[in-house]
Amino acid sequence: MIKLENLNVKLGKFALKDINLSIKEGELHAILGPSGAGKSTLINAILGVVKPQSGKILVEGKECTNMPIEKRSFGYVPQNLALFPHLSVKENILFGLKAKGVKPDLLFDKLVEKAGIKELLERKPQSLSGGQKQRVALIRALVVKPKLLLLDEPFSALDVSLKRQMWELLLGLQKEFNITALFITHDLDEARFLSKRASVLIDGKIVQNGNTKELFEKPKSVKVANYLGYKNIFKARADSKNSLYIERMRASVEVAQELIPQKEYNILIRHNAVIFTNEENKETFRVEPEIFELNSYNLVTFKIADAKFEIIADKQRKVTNYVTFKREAFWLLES
Amino acid sequence: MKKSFIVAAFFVLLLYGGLIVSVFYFFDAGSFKEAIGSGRVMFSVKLSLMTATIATVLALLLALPAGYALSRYSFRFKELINTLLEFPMVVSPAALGAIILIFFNNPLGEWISSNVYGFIFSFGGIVLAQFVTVFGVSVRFVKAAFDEVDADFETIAKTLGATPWQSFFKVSLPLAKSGIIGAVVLTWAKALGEFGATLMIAGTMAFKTETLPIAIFMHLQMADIKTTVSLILILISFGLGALFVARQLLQRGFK
Repeated sequence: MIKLENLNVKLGKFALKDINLSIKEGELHAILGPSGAGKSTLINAILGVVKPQSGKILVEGKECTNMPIEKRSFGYVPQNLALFPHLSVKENILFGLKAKGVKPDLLFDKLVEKAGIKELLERKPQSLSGGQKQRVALIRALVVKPKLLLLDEPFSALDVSLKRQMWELLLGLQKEFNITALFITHDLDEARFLSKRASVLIDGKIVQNGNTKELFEKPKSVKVANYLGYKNIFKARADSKNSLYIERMRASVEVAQELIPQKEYNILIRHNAVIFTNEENKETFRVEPEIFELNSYNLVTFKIADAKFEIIADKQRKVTNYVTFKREAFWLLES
Repeated sequence: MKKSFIVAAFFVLLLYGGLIVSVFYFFDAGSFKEAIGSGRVMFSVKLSLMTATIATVLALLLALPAGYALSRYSFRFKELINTLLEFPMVVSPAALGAIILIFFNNPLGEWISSNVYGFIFSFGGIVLAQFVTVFGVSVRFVKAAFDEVDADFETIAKTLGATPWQSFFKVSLPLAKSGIIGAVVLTWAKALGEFGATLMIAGTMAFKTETLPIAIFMHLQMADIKTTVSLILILISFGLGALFVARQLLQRGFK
């Protein structure tokens, strides 16, 4: 188990603030966040490249905050992969074992076999394709049996199909060898596919962390919802225990959650909360929807007073001039 | 635009090529043979090659760690040190030689002269003059060579279990090799051509401190143009020869 406790790192004007994170053995944990959020600084702090001002890094209960990089036993695959250009693929993979004076064991053969790079062993990294380089970098990091594997957007340069292959390879290896890994990504699909748990890092702070599925479905704050690409977020005020007045809509909506009257809320109206109907009654709003036909779905936009809505709808979904809302699908966010 | 810029690039060829060719105006094969056969010239050649090589080795031994430190670490006075690397370039070599002479007239310098080694008018003085002139430049070149090596390579090496020494020798140094070979060649060529500081410290004694550049100066002073031209050609061929060897080494996979 890897634990970060109140880790604070200052680098010039940028700071990582009070990072708390625990990664269980055999877990793939994703760190999500916009550019400049501090994702790479976090990796560098865990690796030992950057010294934290305060806080602790614990590996299986033992503190390694100030340990030299080479003693930490953390594997690393950076964005640029950093395969040693003066060494062959085999020498790259065996670099760590050679440095430690250990002879290659069965794990080397197994990993090489699994990654399908047996034929590449004598080649120089410069002659490999992007996907082959990724495999070599991954196997090089794993062959020394790291306690934690750190991946800094390693698949970002690959096209979709190669990316998918790499994800499957990583997942396969993770299951077989019980790898514990922390990976940085800004690819939301990658986080969904690979990780069981995830954290969102914004402005140097972990703003949400937990089960990946839950994190995607239930963003805690406006920041996280915005980052995850949610639209239709409005400021609102509770006008009763179960009704919110959305100022931009100039209307109230009933919600399933219990509210504190007069308190300010942020409401996220998800795509599936919007129901198009032909009925005109006090629960429906008249709208003039615009439909943008995209390849696999339609983008529907409409306005209720000053509130602009953007809905992703299946091609088959009927779009009419009246909408109503499914109150169970509303989601309240922290500011 | 392209044409006029290329014309400017051709000015390099015109200037240096033209100057080299113009030397041949006074070239005389007989005098060249005579110069090569002369004991005094051969002494100068040997002296220059030896001193330049020793000065280069010494400079590089220090420049490797110093250049690496300046490229990789943050420490106090780093900026000052970085600025001082250009000191020999901004001060004229003659002034640099004079500064060294002044140093050996200080109490510490005098103590060194009488208890460690007498640098004035000696072989060691030539090496010292060349070393002082080229050291800053060689650190600058070595630093530039390490700057070119992505620090991620070293981080990776360490995460794989390599000690900082292993990471330096197995990763950083081999990856900086082409830049360092360049640094060696240019340092050596600059040491070989060093004149001003050598003149100040070691003087112009034939068969003792007469390096190739000093010999050129001496023969020109005596209006012996033909020997001067021969000496210039020897110096040029060593310099260009070194650059050629460096190129060959790099092409043979030293990169």
